[in-house]
Amino acid sequence: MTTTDVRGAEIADYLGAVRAALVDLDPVTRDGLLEDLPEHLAEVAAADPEPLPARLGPPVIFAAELRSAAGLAAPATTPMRPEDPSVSTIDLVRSMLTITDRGIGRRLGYDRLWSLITELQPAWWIVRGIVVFWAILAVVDSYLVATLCTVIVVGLSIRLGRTAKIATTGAPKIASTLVSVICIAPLMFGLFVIIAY
Amino acid sequence: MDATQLLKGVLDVAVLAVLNAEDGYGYDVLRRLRSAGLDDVGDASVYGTLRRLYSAGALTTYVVASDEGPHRKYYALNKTGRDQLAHSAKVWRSFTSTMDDLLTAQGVAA
Repeated sequence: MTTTDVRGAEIADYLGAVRAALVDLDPVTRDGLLEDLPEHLAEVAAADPEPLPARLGPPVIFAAELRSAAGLAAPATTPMRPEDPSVSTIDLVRSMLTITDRGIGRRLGYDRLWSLITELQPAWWIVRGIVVFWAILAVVDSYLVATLCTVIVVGLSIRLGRTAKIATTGAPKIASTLVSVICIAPLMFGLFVIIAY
Repeated sequence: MDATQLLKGVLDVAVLAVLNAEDGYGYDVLRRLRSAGLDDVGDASVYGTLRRLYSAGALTTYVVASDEGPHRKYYALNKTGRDQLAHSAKVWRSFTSTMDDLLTAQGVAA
């Protein structure tokens, strides 16, 4: 399946979910309201590689905003009620994460917090290489050898991070994530030791 | 006070103003509003507002074919839309002027 196919399916899914949330409208009104939405979603998908719900919010919330902006009455049983089965917990969690992501991000001068995290990624690749330095030092007990090894390891860590970032297959991403996860535990332990003593 | 709440009341004026400068399709209108400083404006709000203004007879549409992407439906102001923009802009300027005077008279710093 190509990227275009995947995005096409993603657009169809998102559109279907928005349409489902507007099921109470009469068909003519609903079709008129959604007439250009496929093209709009295609523009959004082409401009932004992240999943549509991350960019636009959950489909039920998008539908509620669309309905409100179009001046149409809210449904008798609003889809925003938590007990409504059409609003899943996942949708609500996604919505909260999106709000947090944008809210914190803008206070820091970014569109989204995720944009800042993405920019900080290379710094993390270096930090996790330094964690390996501690590990090497613990084994060889020589600053000179550990430092020389670390230069190589930091280089490899940056290369792995960069490869994973632009990779189209999952293997480099899994490898990079695995290395990060392995490095987080000793890093936390090291910080704890520094703070405690 | 949350700017998002204020925006809801004046999004019509903002959309009409953007289209008065130049015809545009949904995503283009959204982008121009954001680049003008309305960062918090949502896709669904703009898209819904365009559909409402169109249904109310303030806009006309035409489709422009594109070889590279989907065909785009452009929105343009008609006379009703231009009249609505002129009236709304007048109301908005009068309202903001009144609020400015009120805040100044009450000694609220800018």
